[in-house]
Amino acid sequence: MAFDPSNLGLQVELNQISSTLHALWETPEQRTRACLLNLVVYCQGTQQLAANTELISKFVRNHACRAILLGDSPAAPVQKTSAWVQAHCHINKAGAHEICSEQITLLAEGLAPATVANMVMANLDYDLPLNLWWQGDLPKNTDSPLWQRVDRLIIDSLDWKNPRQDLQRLSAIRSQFGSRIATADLNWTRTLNLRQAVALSFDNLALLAEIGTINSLEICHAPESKLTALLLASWFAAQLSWVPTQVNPTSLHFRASNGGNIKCKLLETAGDAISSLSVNSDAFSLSLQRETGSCLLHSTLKSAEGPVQSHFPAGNSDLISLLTEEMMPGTRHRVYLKALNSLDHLLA
Amino acid sequence: MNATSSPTINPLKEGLSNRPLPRPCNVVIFGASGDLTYRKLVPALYNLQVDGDLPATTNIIGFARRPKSDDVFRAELGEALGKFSRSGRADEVWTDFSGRVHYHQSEFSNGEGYKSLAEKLDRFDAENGTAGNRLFYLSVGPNEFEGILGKLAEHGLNKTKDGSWARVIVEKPFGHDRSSAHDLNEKVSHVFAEEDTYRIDHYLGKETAQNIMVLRFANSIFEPLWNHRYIDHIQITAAEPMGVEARGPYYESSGALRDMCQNHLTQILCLIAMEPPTDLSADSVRDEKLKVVRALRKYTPEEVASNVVRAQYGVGAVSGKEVPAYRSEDRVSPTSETETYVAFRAFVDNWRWDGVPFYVRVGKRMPKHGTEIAIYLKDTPGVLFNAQQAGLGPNVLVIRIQPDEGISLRIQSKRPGAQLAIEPVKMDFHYNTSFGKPSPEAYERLLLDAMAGDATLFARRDEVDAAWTFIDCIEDAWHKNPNPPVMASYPAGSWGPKEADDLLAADGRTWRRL
Repeated sequence: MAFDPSNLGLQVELNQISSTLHALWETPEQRTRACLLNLVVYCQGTQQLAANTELISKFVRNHACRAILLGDSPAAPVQKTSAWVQAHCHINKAGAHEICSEQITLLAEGLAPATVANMVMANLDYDLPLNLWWQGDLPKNTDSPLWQRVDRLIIDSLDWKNPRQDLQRLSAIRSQFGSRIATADLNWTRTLNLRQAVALSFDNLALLAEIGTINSLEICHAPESKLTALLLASWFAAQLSWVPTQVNPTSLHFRASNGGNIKCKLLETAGDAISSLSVNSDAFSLSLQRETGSCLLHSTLKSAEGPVQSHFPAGNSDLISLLTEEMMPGTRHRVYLKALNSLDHLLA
Repeated sequence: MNATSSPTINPLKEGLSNRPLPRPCNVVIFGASGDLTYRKLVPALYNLQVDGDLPATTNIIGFARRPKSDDVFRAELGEALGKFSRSGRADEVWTDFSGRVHYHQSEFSNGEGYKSLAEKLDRFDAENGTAGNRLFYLSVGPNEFEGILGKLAEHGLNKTKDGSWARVIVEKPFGHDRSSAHDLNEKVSHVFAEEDTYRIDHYLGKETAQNIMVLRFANSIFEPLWNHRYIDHIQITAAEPMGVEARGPYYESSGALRDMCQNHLTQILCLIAMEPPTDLSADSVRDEKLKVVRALRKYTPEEVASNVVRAQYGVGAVSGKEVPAYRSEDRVSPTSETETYVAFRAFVDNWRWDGVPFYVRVGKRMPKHGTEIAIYLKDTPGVLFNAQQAGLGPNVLVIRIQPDEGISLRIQSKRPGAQLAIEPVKMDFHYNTSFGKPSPEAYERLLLDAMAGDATLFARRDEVDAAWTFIDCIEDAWHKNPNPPVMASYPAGSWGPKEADDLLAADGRTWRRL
């Protein structure tokens, strides 16, 4: 498909980006430029530039930022750079000023990673945190100076073509940069509302007393969302100190610290990434279900005291909602990193 | 299932949220037919559900005198939600939420009403796993407190079992003076322990009020300047264009000083003046606030006359509409001596604030709505720029509590050009524009904190007591003094009486124009 740059804004020379952006804010219109962070969105080639521009225009409604959308084609035969700038504006409430964020789109063809990194770094808004949303498989080489500036790495492990390799690369990034780079996995965020609902259910003291007796899980996931299901299972394992003993394509087996065995069934079902989850023991059964499109998780707890129905928020699983949740301050994800350690054992 | 060997920590909650996570509970609102329920409380609870912060099995029980069915109550609330909820009303969320809203009709003094309430709560506990956790919200006049609290105790509704909790939220006014507040505190303390008593001050739930501590203690730039060596004076203003509306009888017995200064503005002053707490626990923060209230200089009746101005609005116009004088308002005495405006000069007598005046003013029928704190720094020395251009204004740090929550800093800057001309410019931070979305309502945060057992943003008994001691000095000078200071007047729609301007003019200062 031919590359169509029509939604990327005004095409400019690379050395005119800054002056063109300044000119945008010198108009007499009642507009306010707002910027709390740098968001660099990395994608391969030109195919995703239009879709990412749409995402950025929605993202800035909740997170005023300077967005730099980078289309990288390192294998292109001819070296070439192109740039576009535009503003995304919205009105918070009637009669208020327009609030605007900036987007710079850079297309790098046939350039070395260090050159691409320099292009990006030259256009960062100073003194603001750098969030790098790396789409697709993680890079093998993270030696460029851009990575030294990154504060938060955003990924979506569901996009990984080779999860085992990407997990190793993520591990290498963590080793190289330590806790200086926070990792935010949108796929992990997909499980947030389920994790929240399960955790809140165990606020019931009687249920909490039985947490060590869990003997089975059942996770229904969409065919393309197995990694989401594995992350959810990894979370249980990490938080409840279960050790994997056997990994099959549709079932996982764990041993708890009290010696009990836990079987986790993974069932492919059309629908949401995770459409249902059940947590069972001899004393209780907790079932959480989300009907497609519903904003609620329907929960049923069955125990000797009789069934209890309740509802929890299901959240939204579109990329903007996931990204917005991930951008909440303070999400350093110690628990995610623990779950990743378990996931490593589950990637058969 | 057997809860006796229950672990105390839920391992699945680790890292899930840094927001307060309340336990599932039942919320009982006394005075559920009142405006506050429709405009603030239920919209706040609904928005907590929208944001995923409300425990999923929470039931909300409206306790009031008027006969009404659950369905009618829900329909009324649903309609109100459309007007007063910041997130509007989403049908699916509302369907789930409203199913857990119930109406309980009873006189506040009727024991049968409490007996059936207890049965209802026990049933909800059994059905929903709310484990006996109860939050009682007294959205009623203080004259009802004693009766309701007594009945709650009589029917064991204040009792807890197996790790559950029972808490009470009390709305202002918390007493009429120190003595009545003491009596009220005593009555509450017979039924609920101090740690289960939440005296609500919605100003403390506002984002900017919460941000005062962050501004002061999370930024190294301000704290070194935050004392008498660099700060000239501080102005705290709470202005509103509204009159007393339908609250004439209440206002007649209260007045601006009791209505606003004893609680909201004293709390704001404390946040500005307090020392850094040792940690962020509720008691550490409140200990520091208490020291400030105790350090407020208490005036003799003579000093009240020269440091406090009281006034009443007369006929005037607000927003282009003519409005009547206070004494002509509905159910207000034509000879009323109740103040609708008060301005005073306060001093916090401690090392940090030695000699720094805090000018506080609050008034009804002002030209516009606004609450803010303005911190005036001292002038630069009279050499260099200050010598060349007379009247360079001071740096002013303004914290806007409402509306348009935010912070601005006025600094001097060179006007572009060959001539050396200096003009003040404003560095402005607006919550809405910087974070791109509106702040939650104060009641959302406060209700959530009460459910989570975090009392940091609620007033403690000794704070209330100390605040009344300060206010009583002024009230006594006005009402128990054979020669009380005069009641000034100001036209509705103006910024207050001339006497208030004179108060600052005597110190060579002027009020900030909002």
